[in-house]
Amino acid sequence: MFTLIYKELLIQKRSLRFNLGYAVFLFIIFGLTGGPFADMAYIMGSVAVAFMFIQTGCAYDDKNKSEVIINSLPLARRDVVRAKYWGTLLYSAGMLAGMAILGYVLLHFPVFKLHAIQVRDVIVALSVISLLAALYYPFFFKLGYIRSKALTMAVFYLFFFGPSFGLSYAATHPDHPIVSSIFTHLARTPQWLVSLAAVAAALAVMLISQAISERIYRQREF
Amino acid sequence: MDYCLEITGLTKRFKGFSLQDVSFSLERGYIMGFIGPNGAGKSTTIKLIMNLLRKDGGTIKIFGCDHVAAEREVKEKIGFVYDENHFYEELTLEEMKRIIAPFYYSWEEETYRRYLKFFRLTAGQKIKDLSKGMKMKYSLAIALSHQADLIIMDEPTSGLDPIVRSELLDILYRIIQDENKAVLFSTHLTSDLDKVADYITFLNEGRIVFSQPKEDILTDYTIVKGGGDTLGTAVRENSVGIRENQFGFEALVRNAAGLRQAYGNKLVYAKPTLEEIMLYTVRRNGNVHADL
Repeated sequence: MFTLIYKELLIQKRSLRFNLGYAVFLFIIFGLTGGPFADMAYIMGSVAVAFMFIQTGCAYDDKNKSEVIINSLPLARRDVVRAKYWGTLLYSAGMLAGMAILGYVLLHFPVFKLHAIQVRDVIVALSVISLLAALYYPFFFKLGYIRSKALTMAVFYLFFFGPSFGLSYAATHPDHPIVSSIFTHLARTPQWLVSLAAVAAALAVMLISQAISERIYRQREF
Repeated sequence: MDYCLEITGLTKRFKGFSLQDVSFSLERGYIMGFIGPNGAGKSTTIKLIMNLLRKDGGTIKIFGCDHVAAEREVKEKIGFVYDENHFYEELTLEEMKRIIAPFYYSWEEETYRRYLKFFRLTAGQKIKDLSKGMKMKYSLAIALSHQADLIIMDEPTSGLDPIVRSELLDILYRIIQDENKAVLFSTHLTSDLDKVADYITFLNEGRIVFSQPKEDILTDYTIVKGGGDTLGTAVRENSVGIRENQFGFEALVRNAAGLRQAYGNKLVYAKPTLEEIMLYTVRRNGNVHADL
């Protein structure tokens, strides 16, 4: 599986520069704007980059029809599926690390209204990215890249803007019954437990999705 | 018998096409030509062997093992070359090799380097910059670098110039000098097989027409030619296919001994090529009239 993860990263090498540039662009825009978007810069940046990673990888597979070669090799099909999921997480974690360094540098300039990366940013970002992979990949493995494209924009808007709007809505509407109930609950629960629960829930959803994708891919014909 | 590949009663149904009861086997030390017109089911059969398609019935055994139950083990011993490039175009040959090589326990880096040099390929070249012939050579270099005992090639020569085709055939001939190896070579360019194949399996409309040693086929079949007045019932009854024109006829027949007795020197007898056998067999249901 590690070779397949390596493959996922290798085929993206051309888009790496673009993705890095995109992350810098987001930082500059959000950092200069300030407000809730600046608070969410790490999350939005890494989710956007993860989205591009998923799309580019699937597009290359489709364009080159490389699944014919990959599945002619002595490997288990489940590893092809797992490499997509874990490759996405690994790449996103790397990007997040890059953004953390960039953010640390930028916050020394007063013009940027950014904060240094926090554990919360990492947890939310990786959880959202896990959910993004969990939602998209079963469709890709079932329908292929072209036919799953219809879903792409919906997924993008949901995961790119969803978390930031959700969190900013919660911040501006603390009296909403659901929001206040969540806040009350969260206030009573230790921070580490909330973080752990979020990571565990996202991971569980991703593993369920991965199992579904493996089942789909076993039946797939090329 | 020590078969590399043994297919029995293989069936696969699609909308509008089905592969029906396909059976053939390939021993070590031989090259089998897998022929048939476009759409006959050759690529489907190869995809079924590689488990890229799921079969509806029948068995496929590779080195005595079921091709699905022992998929990883049997694929370790298979070298494949497909008709199209399925490598990542954006990568270099070296990068693509770095993806493929770790999957084979018996990968031989030195052999790979030797083939690259022999084919005049450079590790740093991008796959998208290679010509069709060079891509095929790269596929072949990969296929031959992990001690594969069964080489499966799906239309490797289609679209290649005669020089590259000839080079490929020379390599196949060299591979087969190792009597532990076998080659299944699908093509509709039967002239390639005239040179190198030991066995021919002919597939038409999803069914096996024959699977025999090439020499037996070329002995069994005869091309007979004669004037229009000699085209009698005996020729028609014995023919696989007939081509007629205003000057006479040309027919492919099996077992020409009876005709030789009946017609003697009134007919001209010739050894057919594989292409003629394929052509007449495919058109058997609508005998060809050259004046149409």
